[in-house]
Amino acid sequence: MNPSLYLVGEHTDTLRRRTGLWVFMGVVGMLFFLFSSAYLMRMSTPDWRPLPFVPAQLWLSTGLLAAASVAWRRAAQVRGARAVRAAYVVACACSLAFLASQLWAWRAMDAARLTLDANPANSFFYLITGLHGLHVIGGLAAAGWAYRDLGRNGVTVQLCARYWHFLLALWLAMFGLLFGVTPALVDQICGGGP
Amino acid sequence: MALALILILIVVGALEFHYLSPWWLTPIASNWQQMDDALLLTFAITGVAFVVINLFVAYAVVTFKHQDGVRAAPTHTSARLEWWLVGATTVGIVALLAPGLAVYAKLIDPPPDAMVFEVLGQQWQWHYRLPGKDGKLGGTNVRFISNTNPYGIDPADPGGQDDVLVEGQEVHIPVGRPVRVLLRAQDVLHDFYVPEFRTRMNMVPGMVTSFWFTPSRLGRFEVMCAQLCGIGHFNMRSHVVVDDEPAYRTWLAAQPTFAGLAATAGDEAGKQGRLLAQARGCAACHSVDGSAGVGPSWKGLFGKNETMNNGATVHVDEAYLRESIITPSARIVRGYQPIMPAQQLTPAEVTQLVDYIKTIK
Amino acid sequence: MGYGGEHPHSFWTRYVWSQDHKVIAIQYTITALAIGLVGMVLSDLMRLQLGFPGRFAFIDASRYYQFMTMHGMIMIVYLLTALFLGGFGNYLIPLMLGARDMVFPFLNMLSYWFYLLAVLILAASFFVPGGPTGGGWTLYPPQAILPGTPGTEWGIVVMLVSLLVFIAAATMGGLNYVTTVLQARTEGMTLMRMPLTVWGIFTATILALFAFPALFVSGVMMLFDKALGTSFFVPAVVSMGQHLPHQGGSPLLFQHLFWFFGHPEVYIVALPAFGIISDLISVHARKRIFGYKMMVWAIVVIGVLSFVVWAHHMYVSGMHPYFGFFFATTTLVIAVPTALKVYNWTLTLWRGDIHLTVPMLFAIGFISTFLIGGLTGLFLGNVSVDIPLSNTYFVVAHFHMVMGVSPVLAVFGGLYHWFPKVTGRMYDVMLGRVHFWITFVGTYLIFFPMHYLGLLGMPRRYYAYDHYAFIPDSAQALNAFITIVALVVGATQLLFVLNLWWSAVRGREAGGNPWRAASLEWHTPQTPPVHGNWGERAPVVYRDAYEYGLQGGDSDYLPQDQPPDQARQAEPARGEAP
Repeated sequence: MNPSLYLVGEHTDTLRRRTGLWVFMGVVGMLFFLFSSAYLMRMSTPDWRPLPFVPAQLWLSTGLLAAASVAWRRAAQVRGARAVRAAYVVACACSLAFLASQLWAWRAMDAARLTLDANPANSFFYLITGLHGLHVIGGLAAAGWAYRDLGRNGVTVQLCARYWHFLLALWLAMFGLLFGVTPALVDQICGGGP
Repeated sequence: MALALILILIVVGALEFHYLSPWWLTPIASNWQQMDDALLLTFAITGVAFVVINLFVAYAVVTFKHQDGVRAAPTHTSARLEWWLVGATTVGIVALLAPGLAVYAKLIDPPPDAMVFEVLGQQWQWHYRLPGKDGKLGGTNVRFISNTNPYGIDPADPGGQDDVLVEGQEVHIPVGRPVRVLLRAQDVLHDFYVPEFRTRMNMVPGMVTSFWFTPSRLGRFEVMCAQLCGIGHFNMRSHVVVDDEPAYRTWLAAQPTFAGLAATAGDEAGKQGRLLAQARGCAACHSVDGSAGVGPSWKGLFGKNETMNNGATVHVDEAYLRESIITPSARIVRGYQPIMPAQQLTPAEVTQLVDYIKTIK
Repeated sequence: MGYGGEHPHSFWTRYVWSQDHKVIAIQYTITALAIGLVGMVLSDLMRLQLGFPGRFAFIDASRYYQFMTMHGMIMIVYLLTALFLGGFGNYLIPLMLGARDMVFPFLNMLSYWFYLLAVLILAASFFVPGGPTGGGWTLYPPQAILPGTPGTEWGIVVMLVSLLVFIAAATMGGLNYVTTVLQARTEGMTLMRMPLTVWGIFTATILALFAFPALFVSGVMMLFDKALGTSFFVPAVVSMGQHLPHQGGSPLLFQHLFWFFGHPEVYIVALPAFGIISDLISVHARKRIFGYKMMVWAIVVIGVLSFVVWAHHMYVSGMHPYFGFFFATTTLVIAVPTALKVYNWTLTLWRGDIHLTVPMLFAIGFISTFLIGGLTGLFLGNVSVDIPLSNTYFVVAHFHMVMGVSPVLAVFGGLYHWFPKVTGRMYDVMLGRVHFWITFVGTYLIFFPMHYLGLLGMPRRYYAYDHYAFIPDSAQALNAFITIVALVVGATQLLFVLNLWWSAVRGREAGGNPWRAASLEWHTPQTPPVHGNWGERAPVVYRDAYEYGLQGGDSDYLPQDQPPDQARQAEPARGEAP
């Protein structure tokens, strides 16, 4: 078995993988920061209509993603291959359920005629939740790849836990942005500047 | 040795070129002499840096060329020298920035009593509008733009009724009076650029932008679009004429108003088509007086025989005109570019255009 | 510490699906040079129209704008960025740091194949209905996605998809370069002992990781506006007589996002060039780089500042005028560390022992061309001086000098300089010199006069200049002259490609360190280096990479990995001499 096939290589240090993940999280954080900036800039035009309600499914999503985070935390802390594997399965299942819940929220928005092209707030909603979901899928792919590492290598699970906490933090920030940041709030903070 | 020589030649050549070449700023026609001054100052400071550093390198390359038995000086740094250089550079930078920003502060501060006129950009022609007797421009909105209202003036706004709508591609302004140019675009980004005025600005759909200047001499100046706006970008042409007051007033009085244009009923033959051709930008490429343009002139077009780029001859009849309008890429006249876009036109509008073209003899 | 990794055995794992950073680097380099040649041909076609308007019927306005767009995008992103980061970065970082490979070799391999995929997708845009987009490499909406611009059916979509794939590739590579620099340096290799080439590429990579997301954001949003009817960037418009369903979008929002990427992008190209030039000058003048510490700080400060200057590309965009003050100030401030680097290069030459090898010729050519390119940047950075010059040929001349000429001279210098390490052979010196002279003098002849066409007021991105009263006929003659020179310079690059290929196969053997250079990459046990780079034991480093100019004794330099108590070894390295 060629160890070079491993995404991170058997001989590379724990520190290297941790650093790599921090850098990657920095890049993804930057991506969502820029989307947020675009959101705030676009908000200032007169055709802006804030999203009228929070689809209930999003509360479910939040809970599921939080549960996944907790499960990863547990997987990183317990000892014994079986316990780790169990927590891992719960975490992945919760993440998949999160994605399903997000899709359900999309259907609910669509049913309420809040379609993608109707209004920029809608467009941002689908775009941002969609990209966040893609990053969850990416995380699941990486977690799937690392399945065989579970028993022996604690580092992989720790890295997954860290990434999932990051995904949760991102989700909370985006959730707050999409539904909590209104033009009025922005005006208050920016004092109606240029 | 050759390298040092070439570097010296580059320096000498650059200086000679700068002073002797025929390509330089157009003679200024506005009050912004200070912008030219800032430019010349920049040339002076950067010119010194260019000459000194190139010559320094040339000297070093000759003096310190490898000789057997001679080694490079031992390792050294001089933090003092570096900080001195940083300081000198900073002084140079401030010397450039301060005058530049001082001019800029004036550029963005138009006098409150400046005369106003508006430029509306469209792929690929210009429209000009001036306030009428009431001294203000009527409100506009893109959704009002139509074949009979190419400027999108709000019909409900009384202030817009007397707005002067310039026909044709030439706008006049009076010399010596500050003027603030308001800029709109109906489709994509454009830029109203007259090199002689020095200042200019992009035209952005969804926004009104502006710049101001005081024309300082008489003349007829070319307007160019300076923001890529599609394949017709290089041929979006117009003129600004700076008149003395009497000539300006004469010109102004001859221009139609928004209300006036709407009032004259469609009794002249081909009038609907003419308005359509102006609203849709056909007039930008197809002249009616026979002058050469991006597209074939319409003067005498109907009934003549045209040669296509594949050598075939075609008799210009109604069917050919329709085809040329609806599917412009189907056949290309010899000597012309295949760049006419396909416009969205109803069958009635196509008929109006064809009827109009038939009237141009 | 021995290398426990397995060595690849089959042809496929050694040369195709290789995870060896050196093979990946060569793959990147060959692909980048190939697409770069395509970009160069496109520029030749543009110049044919500009120099001899209307003479070549197949270069109509639509095609001209398509060639122009593809030329720009290919050169900036697919050639320069890929070559500096994926080519030079991949090859040199592990070797210069004493590492055996990048820290994530599989990801590294993936990054190349994603890059290749991005290139192929981009090339495919020539074959889709309507052809490639003609919206300019800046892809400004609304025109890039509205009728009236070539390629609005498919071309723009293919372009955006290609860019998104490229960004994925760049992120994968970037993770490798950054983590390797931070975590895989060999014993004794502190950050302040790294060669400036590594500092340049490392900083550029950090810039890339944080700037490309802005391109990603703007690209995705533009794709949505084009394909899904959203209105991020497109306000209510009447396009070709039709009222479109968009409303409220902001074209300026795109510009802010694009240039937030676009400005760091030019430093992503420039910083590796700066690093490489520092090393070339130091080695070939046998002298420590002047002011290493300040050079490092300059690179870092330039990198940080590059994120706060972007709107100097937007002075005439219609953005709020007060922004002009801020960005003019930051832009002129960034000139200070940049100038410092130029001073330090010239001070390194002072009292040096200058060997005018082909790499050194290119390095000195870089100083001269980067100087003028940077100086004209002072015109354009100063907002009120920029206003009449924006979107004229002054800008075209500026960015070609500072992006197209000087970094390309740095690329050539670097390729010649490290050629003996990569292949074990020396390039043909005479061909190299001819290549240098024609390219250096030629590009000056092309771009110096071009500034003056811009001062005159000739706008850029014009297909033709029919009958403008203020443009003298001599300007057309100048355009014709520039075209001829450009064709000659373009043809000369084929000499370069021939030299590389022929010398790689038949060049004379060069030995492990023909330049008697101190940095680690020249001290591998084998040349070319093999998988694992260092054999049984990784090197230990005792000093920085610039110990030159030693007086007395047999040797004028000390390699980074030579223990202090060992006597200096005299090496009969011949350099370029046959």
